[in-house]
Amino acid sequence: MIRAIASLVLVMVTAVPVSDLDAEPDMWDSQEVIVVGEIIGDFSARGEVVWFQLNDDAYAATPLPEGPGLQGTNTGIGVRIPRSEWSETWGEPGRYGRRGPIVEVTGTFLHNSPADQGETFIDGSQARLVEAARPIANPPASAFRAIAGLVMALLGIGLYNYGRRPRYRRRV
Amino acid sequence: MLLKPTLDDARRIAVDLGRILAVVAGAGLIPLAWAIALGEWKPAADLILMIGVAGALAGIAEMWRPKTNTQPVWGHGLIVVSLVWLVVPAVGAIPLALSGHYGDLIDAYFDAMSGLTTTGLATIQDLDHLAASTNVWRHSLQFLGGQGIVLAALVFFSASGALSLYEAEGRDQRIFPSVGSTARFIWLVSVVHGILGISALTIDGVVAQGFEWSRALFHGFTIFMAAFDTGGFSPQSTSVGYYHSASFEAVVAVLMLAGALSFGLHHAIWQRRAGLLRNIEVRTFATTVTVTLFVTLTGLAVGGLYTETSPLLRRGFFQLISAHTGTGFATVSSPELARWGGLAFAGMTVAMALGGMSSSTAGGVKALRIGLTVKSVLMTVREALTPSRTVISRTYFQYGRHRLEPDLAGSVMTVSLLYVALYLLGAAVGLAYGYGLAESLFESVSAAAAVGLSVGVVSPDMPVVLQLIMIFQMWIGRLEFIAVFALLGFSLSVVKGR
Amino acid sequence: MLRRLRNAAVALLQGAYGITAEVVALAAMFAVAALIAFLLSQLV
Repeated sequence: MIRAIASLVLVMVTAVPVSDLDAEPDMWDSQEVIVVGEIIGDFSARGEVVWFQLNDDAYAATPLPEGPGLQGTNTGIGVRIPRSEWSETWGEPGRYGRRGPIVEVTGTFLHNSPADQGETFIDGSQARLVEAARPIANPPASAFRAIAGLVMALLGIGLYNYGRRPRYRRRV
Repeated sequence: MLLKPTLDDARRIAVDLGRILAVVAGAGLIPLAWAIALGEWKPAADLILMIGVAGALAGIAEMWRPKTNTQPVWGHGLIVVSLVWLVVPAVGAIPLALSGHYGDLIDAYFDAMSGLTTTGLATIQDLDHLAASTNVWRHSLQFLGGQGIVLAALVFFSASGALSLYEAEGRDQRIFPSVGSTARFIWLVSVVHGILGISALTIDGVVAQGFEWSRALFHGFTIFMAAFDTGGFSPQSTSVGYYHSASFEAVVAVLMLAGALSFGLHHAIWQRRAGLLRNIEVRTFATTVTVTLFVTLTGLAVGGLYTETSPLLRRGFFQLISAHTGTGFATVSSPELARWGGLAFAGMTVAMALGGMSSSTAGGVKALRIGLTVKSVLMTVREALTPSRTVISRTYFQYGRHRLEPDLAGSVMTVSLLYVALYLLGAAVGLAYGYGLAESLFESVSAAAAVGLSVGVVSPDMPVVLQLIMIFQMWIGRLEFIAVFALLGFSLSVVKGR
Repeated sequence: MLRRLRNAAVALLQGAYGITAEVVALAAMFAVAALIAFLLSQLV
């Protein structure tokens, strides 16, 4: 585990943080960069290329339930790589309950690329798996909340029907 | 003299509030089903708690029903509606606050209010790892808020004073003589758009983007609710930019436009009524879209951000439609939007401030008010320039010719001015916190007109006072002032009434 | 039952007409935008 984190940290040091690309896109435009991050959401396989979102935020390094707490919003960038660079062994992208595969992408940063109708993304040429996807242990479901909710819901239905009972009984 | 409300008045208000909470509890079953299907047990428990709280409150209110059947207090509907829009976000925030993705309770309430008012500003953190069911709940809040929860309740309960409830939620035109049938028509329009919209988005997800079909359905479902109700939440942190797909953006743009059209106009189109292009709202909306589009695109081209036709068109058009319809989807990142600057920024801000049509799910000043304001100014000018005996026709066309009475013109201008004041209020607070003028104004308009685009002022670590001001802006902007004034009057009568 | 199905079909058809109108309206706006964008890209 420690070795895995150490290797991850080492890889991230050589990479360009997406926040740098966001801050000075013109300086980085059309430059070759290396970005490392977690693949998030979905793989979008379109013909000869695969698109995905690569997040290099705090949650990529340490998933929220395992880390010290909230670290702000997500930061990441869209990446397009040739299909030949993609492998099924990476595992599924990151979502609830899963840290997506960490990959290192080498490619060209394109800012508002005219050839791609203004997309800002990494036109990747190479992708290398750093760490495969793995499950994140989310906190267990709270039985207290579920039971309290059910009891209150039943109470609500009961009170509702009680409230709507006929108020004035007709005399027989 | 102010009359002090009786306990029965409060009970009557509570009953209507309770019935609406019952609808919220029912709506909670949608994300709950999603959670159970995906095995997301923790969010499921949190959702059950929320359903329980809403259900229990509804039950208590019903039990507490007044014993006598007297007339409701003046402005009953307005008071109920303004309270509904404060209480429902509090209940709706329960699963959000328990998700562990919010820094504090104010953040969770902010997002619930933003969802319900169909704004779309968000302070959620690590959205990309949020449970799908919690995401469905965020989007359900947008759908509920956009459709008008009160309207939802009207379908299920024939509430007393239905008309005043209906009008209080910012819908001034009835399409059918009865409120119930109008409510049903509004739901019909939404369901039909839902069936076709979700299908189109899901198919695009599978075919054009190569998603797994279950994921494509998730994206289609959530994006539809946020687009048609001009909400602007998205299941991923990068908004619609996540999809990198022109065809997806096109479908979303149609849904955003549909959401910004008034339901009266939907009805007129469905019935293939003639003369729609003469409609003052249609003309105003078309004009303001064209003008702000021209300004924004010019700004982008001159600013050198997008100099070729296709990027200029795709980015500029989508962003402007998103702003003008009050949706707030983004295909460019917040830092990128902040770089637009100058003329493009001005075009976007004005588009957000103007908003969609009245009786739609969009926010802002709205096309009808703008059209009538311009018309009445033009008439005044014309009257001043012509000999005094000339009769000038003071009429406008909206599904038939109507007289533009001075009373109507006056109230329209008052509300428009109140919107301007609301925009300035948020901007002033933003300035006080050291944000720039342009970004303060942009973000303030975005909140008050229920848009949801952000250049980075709204964030998890934004100042609390600014956050509270924005919650207030979203609330009062969505209810178009009058309901909130009625609530203030009611509160005053509780304290000072005799 | 049959009448309900018919009503649903009619609503769906009316809705499809409405959405077609929306698509046409959006296409018109897009055409205006395209013209503006084209002229701007030539001028700037």
